[in-house]
Amino acid sequence: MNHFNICPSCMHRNNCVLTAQKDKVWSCSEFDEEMPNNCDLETVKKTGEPKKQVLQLV
Amino acid sequence: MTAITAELKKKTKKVPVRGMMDNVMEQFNSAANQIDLHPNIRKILSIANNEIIVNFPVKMDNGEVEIFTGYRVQHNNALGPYKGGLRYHPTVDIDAARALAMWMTWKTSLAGLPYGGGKGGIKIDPSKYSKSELERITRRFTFALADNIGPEHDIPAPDVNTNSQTMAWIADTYMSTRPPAERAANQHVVTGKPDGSGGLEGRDRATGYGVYLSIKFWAEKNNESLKGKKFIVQGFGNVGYWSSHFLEKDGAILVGVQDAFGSLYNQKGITVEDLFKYSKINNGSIVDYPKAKSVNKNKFFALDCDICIPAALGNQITKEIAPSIKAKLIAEGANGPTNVEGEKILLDRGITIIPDILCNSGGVVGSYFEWLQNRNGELWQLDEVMMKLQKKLKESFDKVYAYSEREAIDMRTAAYCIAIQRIEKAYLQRGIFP
Repeated sequence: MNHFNICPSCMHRNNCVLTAQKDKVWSCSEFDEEMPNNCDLETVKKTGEPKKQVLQLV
Repeated sequence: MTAITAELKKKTKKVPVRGMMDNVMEQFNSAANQIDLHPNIRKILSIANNEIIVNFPVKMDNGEVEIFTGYRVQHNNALGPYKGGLRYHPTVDIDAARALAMWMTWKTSLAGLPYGGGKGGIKIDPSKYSKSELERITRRFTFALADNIGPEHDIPAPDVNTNSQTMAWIADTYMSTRPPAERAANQHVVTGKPDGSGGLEGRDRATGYGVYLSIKFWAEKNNESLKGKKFIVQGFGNVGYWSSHFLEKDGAILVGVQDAFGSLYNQKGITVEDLFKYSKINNGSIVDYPKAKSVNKNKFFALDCDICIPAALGNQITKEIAPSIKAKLIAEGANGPTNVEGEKILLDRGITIIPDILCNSGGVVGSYFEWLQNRNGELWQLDEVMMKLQKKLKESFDKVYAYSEREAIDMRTAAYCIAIQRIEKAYLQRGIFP
């Protein structure tokens, strides 16, 4: 078995018609990684009034 | 050559041989025998110059710290800085990077570029991390690699699960580690950047255009026209789409397409742009395209056509498939689509194969242009890029074709011979230090 193999993490792994040798693929044009489920963490939700920043003297 | 005439050591360093490495070594040895490669140079090229493993910590979104392992294998730099992709995948390891780095050495050499070969990545499943975590992982990896990469030393590029965004993060991090006055002069530490951040206009179509050009050059050599020639393409990603696009523009007819979801066939022709638009609105799938019939996945390569373009993945044309192929030309858009047994059958049947190392080299030539553009502080227009690409690829194609005709060998062996001979020449001219 080939050590490096990208099929297990491809979103098409269960239905892909391209190959039956899914333990030997190291490069594929159709490879699509499953999207991270929390990829929208970047979007900062703004709710209500922004909190006032209070400068504290230490 | 006088510098390396010392008696050969009986023992050579053993390269771990496993799967992919096996294939790459077999191709190398076969070509090395063909050109009677100097035994000392054979030893040098059988093993990577440097293998870098870095373990680095990254703070996750939840405040925890995770340790990641990154790799970079620098196979050979006799012709110039190491060049090759970075992939993010759970199965990335040093063995995979070794084989792919060696393959890059042959590829850049054949393309006539001033580059060596490298490869690397991070052992990671990117789907488990947020975008901001991936950014921090990428930046920390770049910091951990430190001066093991550099615009004149080792130039990474995108690969599996990495893209122009990843390259932009690497470039930004690397540039930030330089003194302020040097930062802008280090943008070419990576290629495959977004086009607004030093990327190359037309980089998306470079590989597909190269596949099309290889077919065109072959047709010209054989006094044939592409007009009316029927072709099938496996894979409708970047390479499959763009090669079909350019072939259609030149009068060829797309009659069969296969992607991960299914296979299509229409002997009268499938309009490339129509299919592309359809796939865009059909979640990237070509299935159920109304102007073509569905075809059994196992009969795809047996479809009636003149040209077959496997542009998806490796190990497709095997000894089981090869006897049924109707095309008289195979243009390997993917990496390693024809295996050894399949290739033997095709060659015995008189079918020509334009090997992957030549056929899909448009991508790495595009990377070279991006690097040159950044290095010289220039911005090239699309038509200029395409023109330069054509010139560079014609040079490589003509060399391989002439060599294969002269030596009466197949184009793959010819390509490997030329690639290795170019590196051998550099070593013979320079000798070995000290």
